[in-house]
Amino acid sequence: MNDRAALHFKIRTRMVFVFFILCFCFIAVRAYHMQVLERGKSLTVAQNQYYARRINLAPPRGTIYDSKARVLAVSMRVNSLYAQPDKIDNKGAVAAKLAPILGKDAGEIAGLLSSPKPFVWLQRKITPLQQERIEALHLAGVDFIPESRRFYPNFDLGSHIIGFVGMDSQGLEGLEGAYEKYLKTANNYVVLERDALGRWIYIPEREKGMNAPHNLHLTLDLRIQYIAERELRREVIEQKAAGGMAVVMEPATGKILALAVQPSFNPNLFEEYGPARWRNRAVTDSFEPGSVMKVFLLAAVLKEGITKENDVIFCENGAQTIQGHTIHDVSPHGWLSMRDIIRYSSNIGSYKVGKKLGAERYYRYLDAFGFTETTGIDLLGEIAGKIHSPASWSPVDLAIISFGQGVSVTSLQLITALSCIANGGNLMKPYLVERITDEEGKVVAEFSPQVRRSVLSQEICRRITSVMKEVVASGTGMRGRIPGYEVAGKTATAQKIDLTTGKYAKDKTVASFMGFLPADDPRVAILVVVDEPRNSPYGGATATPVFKRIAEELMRYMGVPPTGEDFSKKLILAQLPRIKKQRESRSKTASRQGMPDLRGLSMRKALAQLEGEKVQIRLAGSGLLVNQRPNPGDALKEGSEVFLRFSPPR
Amino acid sequence: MIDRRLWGQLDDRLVILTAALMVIGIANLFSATITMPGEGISFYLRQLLWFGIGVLLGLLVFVIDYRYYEEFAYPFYLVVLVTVLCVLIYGLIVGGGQRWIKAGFFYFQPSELMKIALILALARYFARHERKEGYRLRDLFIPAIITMVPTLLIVKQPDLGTAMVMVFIFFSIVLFVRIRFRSFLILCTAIFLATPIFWFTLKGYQRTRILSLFHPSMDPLGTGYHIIQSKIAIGSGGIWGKGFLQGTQCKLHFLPEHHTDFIFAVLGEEWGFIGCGVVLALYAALILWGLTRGVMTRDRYGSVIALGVTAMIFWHVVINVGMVLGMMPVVGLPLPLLSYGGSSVVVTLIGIGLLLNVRARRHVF
Repeated sequence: MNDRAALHFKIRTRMVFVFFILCFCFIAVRAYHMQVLERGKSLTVAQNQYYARRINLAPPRGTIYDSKARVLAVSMRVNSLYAQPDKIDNKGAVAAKLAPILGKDAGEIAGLLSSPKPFVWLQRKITPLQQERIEALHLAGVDFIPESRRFYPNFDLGSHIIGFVGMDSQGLEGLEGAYEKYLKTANNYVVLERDALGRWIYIPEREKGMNAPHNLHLTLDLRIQYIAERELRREVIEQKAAGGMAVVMEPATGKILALAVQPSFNPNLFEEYGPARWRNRAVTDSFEPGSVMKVFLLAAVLKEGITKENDVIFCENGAQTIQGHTIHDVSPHGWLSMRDIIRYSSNIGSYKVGKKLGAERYYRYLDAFGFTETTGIDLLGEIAGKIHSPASWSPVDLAIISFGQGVSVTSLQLITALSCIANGGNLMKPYLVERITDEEGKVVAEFSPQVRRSVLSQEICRRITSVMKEVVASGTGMRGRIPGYEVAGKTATAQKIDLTTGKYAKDKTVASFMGFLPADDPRVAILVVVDEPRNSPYGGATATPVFKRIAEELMRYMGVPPTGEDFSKKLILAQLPRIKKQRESRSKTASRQGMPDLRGLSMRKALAQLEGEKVQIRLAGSGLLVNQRPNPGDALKEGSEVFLRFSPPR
Repeated sequence: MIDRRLWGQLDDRLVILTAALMVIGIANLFSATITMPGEGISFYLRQLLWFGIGVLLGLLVFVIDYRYYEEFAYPFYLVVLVTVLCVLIYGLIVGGGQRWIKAGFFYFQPSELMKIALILALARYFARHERKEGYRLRDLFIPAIITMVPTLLIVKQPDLGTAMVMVFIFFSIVLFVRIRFRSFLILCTAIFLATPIFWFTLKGYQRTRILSLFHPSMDPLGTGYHIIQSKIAIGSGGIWGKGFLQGTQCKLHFLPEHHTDFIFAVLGEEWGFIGCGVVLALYAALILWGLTRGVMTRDRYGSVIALGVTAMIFWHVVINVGMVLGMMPVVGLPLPLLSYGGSSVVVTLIGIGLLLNVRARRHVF
């Protein structure tokens, strides 16, 4: 009996056991069916729901400023027009009313309005005027949502550096793309409520883990950018050239002060141009630089002690044949010193010293000057150019590489290598963004000059500079002379490879000039490249005048004092009448009180204080006055010399 | 009373199973509620607190010999019954149901505790009234009354899910303690006949819930919405799931109540079929433990308790998962240890404490 009871108990528990197991199996089979067999179906539904319910809005982005806090890119609040089709009864009438305001076809709008979707954009980022007119219509089911629109107040200026953004405020090109992480904010979006299809709720909160957008402060100076771009464009148009580039760098730091690429584009309407226009060719494209490379050859031979400036080399009277190839000089030369080889840009002379130097050593210097690597600038898509390894150079290769053909480099590599010579031998990392600040102006990140490596000694740099000064003073770069300033530079007229034949084209050149000034204490290094000039193919005739015009205006803008007394007088005379007009009401008691205290004043204010004094004024530096002679309160004698030194404010 | 040897009798398999479910529960809840604006403390932290309270109460239940509970089974039952009645009169109305009572600083659902009280009361009755030949219908009259009174009160709240579980616990126990075969057949027939009558006593929304099970598209934005959204969430998970914190359906609030009754959908979306399989296997292991090791005691009272608790957990899992998978009507029943909710967590852990208690003292006789 007891046994039977135990048996029954066992059977019952087994039955319950089996029942429970079956239930679980049933559930598992059902889950398998849903998750594995019919997965695609659910996924589609889920995604449709996700997209139908979530509508992205363009969020505001950080502002981009130049080095003087001028706005380069800014986000503005604009409204976008949307419709909720199921709330609109007479779709045809509404479409007809909206069409003239939006400048669209009424049929197209009617098509949007008869969409089964609960939410459709009619037009994003409309103008305030359009909004006013639409509001006056009092249409049901048509409303506005605030979005952000990116505005570039300087249009073409600096467009290749700044870049642009897409419809949803995503950075696409230039710094907008490279600094997306800092400039962008959380996506704003609208979520449609499920229980009332017509209703939507706006979620103003930012996505989790996202900060407010940060602002960029560039090294770029809008004024310098404007000067560079204006002069470059003028030349490109005059020469009917295919394009051009002008880069201005501060040699001591590697800061890019201007980077102009022609033809340019208006980033506010970037869609109207093609990707070819958007490309910042100073970093993304390389070209055969030609004779400017002789400067780096000179650096190598001076450093290696192979040839001194005054050693003479026979230049074969203009033609030299190497393994069946003949290289020419533009004008034939007999014996030339090393400095004259650079001054007159002799290809044959360069080839001869190149041969003495040897492929391996020459390559080592090209490598040291950074021609085999990207410069590391904070832009997207930078390339490194192309220099084959020296083991593969034939004697002809070595010859043409000695004068800058057969290798390709980017403008940025060139200006960076030039700055290295200008600043006393440090190869810098070029950069565009100086500071990143948050909403309240607090500095989030700060970038300081970065020395990549030391390439040359100051002594060698000084010697190279003195040769480059002669190029401008009395060589191929004479058109680059600027009264009052010593300029060091080098011209180049590079032949272009014809892509159809694979040989050097006869009529296509790249004319360029690179230089820095003042030669002994350089404030700027400038590279000008004109691609395929038509009227005058030579760098000395085409690119050099552009350099001169840019450099001359920059010296004035930056307040670099000219050397030689004539020029300092000229500068003051040029400025005084302007100041006079502005400061008429100001009382002038300076002479009775002796030398006024000018410390901390700007140049213009300081000069205004000295207005009417019969003294000779000498100026140095730029910015605010830091040092003056005579000291405040000292007597001011007629005809005495007053020395004022300015320094940029911190 | 608290013997040091008692801890040696703590069944580590059951402890590990429970702990595993709790860990999964917290992780899943964390993911489910990450985008939800909680008032003050976040959901998963509050759940952790409930786990703490539950474990403490479970241990308390475990250390006291369960045979003492036999004495207090009926008084306890009556006290809880009164609180359920109180809820009906004074309770808070949340989500259309009057289920909550404020006890000091927190809210509690006495109907959850009623299940434990019912199990203890039924166990005492069947332990004291043993029928070697099996129970006849008339023998089941008193247990039926014990079950029906609180069940009706709970239906009145209305909390259909809990009421259903109460009835299922009763039938599970009745089958276990052995009902006569003839009586069993009569009972089945009676239920079959009573179903239409039951249908007409249901409230309108309860009926549509059941109907929408068969035709979810009948009312996609109303009653069917839960089922459709739940199926989309689970279905889109696939075999391996979208990954921890990667679910979109639940995060974007397509699925209401996803942190409580529909928590399994979050699991299904993020962990896929594999994740569902693992969790179901854990529940199955827990229930099989209850049916094998739990009920294997010579004491009839302990045996019925073990079966009752096991049945309670089983029906919760089956009804909840069945509902989330769209196989059962939406009745609003939490998934033990995974759903957010203090009452459910505490009651489940007390139940586990009872199971451990019975298991630990199986050799005492």
